Parts: sequence; C-alpha cells; structure tokens
Amino acid sequence: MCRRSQCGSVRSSGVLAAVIFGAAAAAFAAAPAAAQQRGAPAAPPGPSADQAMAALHAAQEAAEALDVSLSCAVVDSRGDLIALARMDGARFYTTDVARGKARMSALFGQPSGDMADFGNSPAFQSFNETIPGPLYAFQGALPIMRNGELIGAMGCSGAASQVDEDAVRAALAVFGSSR
Amino acid sequence: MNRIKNFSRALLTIMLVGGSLGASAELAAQTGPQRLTLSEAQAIIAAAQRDAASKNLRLSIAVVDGRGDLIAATRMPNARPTTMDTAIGKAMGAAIFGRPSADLAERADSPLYRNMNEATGGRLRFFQGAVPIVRGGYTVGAVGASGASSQDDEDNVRAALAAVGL
Repeated sequence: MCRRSQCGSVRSSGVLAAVIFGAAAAAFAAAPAAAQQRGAPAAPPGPSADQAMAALHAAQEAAEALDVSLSCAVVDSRGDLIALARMDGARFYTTDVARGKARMSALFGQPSGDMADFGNSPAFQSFNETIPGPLYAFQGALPIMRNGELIGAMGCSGAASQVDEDAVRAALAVFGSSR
Repeated sequence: MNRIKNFSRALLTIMLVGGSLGASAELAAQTGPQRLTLSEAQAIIAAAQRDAASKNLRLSIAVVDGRGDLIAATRMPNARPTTMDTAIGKAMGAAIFGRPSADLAERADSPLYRNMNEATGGRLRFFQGAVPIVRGGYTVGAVGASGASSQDDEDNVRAALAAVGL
C-alpha cells in the first residue's frame, strides 16, 4: 500500500501518461490522412471550368454563325490554360495563337488588340523571352473581370482578328458582369 | 405485327450500320481514316471528368489529333495549373508514337525521342497517363490526363474512351 500523497501522484501521472498517449495516438492516426493531403493546390483567381466550357460553346456558336472555324482558349489570371477547343477545320497552330493572345490579355489586363505598340517594343521582346510560353500581342483576346478584379482572359484565333475578338465578346457574357 | 415491325427495323439498322462501315472503310482506304472531331474530343473529356469526379481526382485532360496537335483541353476545378501542359505533352507523345505514353518512358532518352521532342518544341512528356485513339487501324488522336498518380491518369483516360465507345 502506498501513502495517500504518493498514490495520488502515481494516479495523476498515469492519467497524464494516458492523456499524452491518447494525444500521440490521435496524432499518429491523423498523420496518414494529412500525408495523403499533399497540400491543396492554390490556383490563382480564375473563371470556373464550367464557365470556361460554356464560354467555348458560346464562341463556337458565334463562329458557326459567321461560318468561320476558330480555336478559343480560356486562361486564368496567371495565364494558365483552363479550357481550349479547336473547331473542326481550324488550322493546327490556331490553338497556340488563341492561347498566346489570351495569356497576353490576362497578364496585362487589357484587350490584346490594344497592345500592338507594346508588342513591337524591345521591352516586350525581353518580357516574352523571360516569361515561359508564347505571348501574342494581336487583337483577338479580352480580359475577364469579376467584381473589379482581373480573373483571366479569353482569346480566339482562326479568322480576321476583329472576328476573333467578336467571337470572344459574344462569349464573355457567360462570365457574368464584365466589371 | 409488332414483331414484324421490330424485325424490319432491326434489319434496316443492320443494313445501315453495315453500309456505313463499308463506306467508311472505303473512304479510309482513299483518304485515311475519319479524323477526330471537336465534338468527339469534348465527349471524351466530359467522360473523363465524370470518371475523375467519381474517384475524387482533380485532373487536366487533353485530346490531340493524330499529328499531336491539340483539339481540346480542360482543367478541372482545383487541379494544379501545371498539370495542363503535362496532360497535353503526354497526349502528344501517345499520338505521335501511336502507343500508350507509359510505353515511351523507358525510351525517353533515346536519340529519336529526344530529336522528336526538339522537333515539337520540347512539349512531349514521356510519362504514363495517355493512350492513343485508334480508328480503322490508324492513330487518329490521343487523350492524356495529369493530376493523379500516373496509373490513375491512365485508368481515367481508358475509362473515358470506353465510355464513349472509342
């Protein structure tokens, strides 16, 4: 038999050990789940994938109405591709041009058609060399805004550049307000 | 009466399908196989997204034509942005070499593969996760996915092709 005070301390340290063990077990049990969750990817602001697909369909309808075949691309605010479609009959390189125009528009928050002068400047040339992936400073892409924030851009290629831009404009309503 | 109607309808279907198969084989002999259309590519991507969502995967999925040129691509919500170029690159490799990109991994450093990668702008990715789309004995395209384990990526695109009957 132990004295009361000792017993108390043994019991309390036993309780403490049980609490520590329990916490450690809980931590170990939680660890594999946490390890599997390799950190949620924090994508930059952008339109949703559903919106992007809907916009591609809208642009396709506009292009069909004008009897042209386009490639269109939707990128997020970082310029990374969210969705792209090349219509049957559109030339193969139009995918890259549509994507490049959309990136241009997304990175600078302006219609790519407004950037022709900048596109001819040495500053743009060095910028284009620095940033991986092609940029095209031609008309045919417009920025996508949400609540005053730039969230991406959409670009089309395959027809006259004004027609490209018109197809984008026809699709922009999908993203909601343009402000 | 109904039975006769059903029978004649079945017969008509067989004749129509048989006829169109014969015609497409003839056409393929003259002009090559029918190319992959945008609507087919989008159907493949939609099927791949359904499969990925059912397995709680977040993927980028890309469909290219027989030359390796991009037809359609989509990045699912919360898929890593960089998965897109991997999906495209894997699909390009599968289309150009006409075999699953998993088979290309071991040859990635061979001179032919390095040269091909240079010729296509360094965009090829020789990892598992893309399979060619074959029609009439020709590779008419490929579909690639990226964002999960490479085996899951490949399972996903195979499931998508099975779902749309390609």
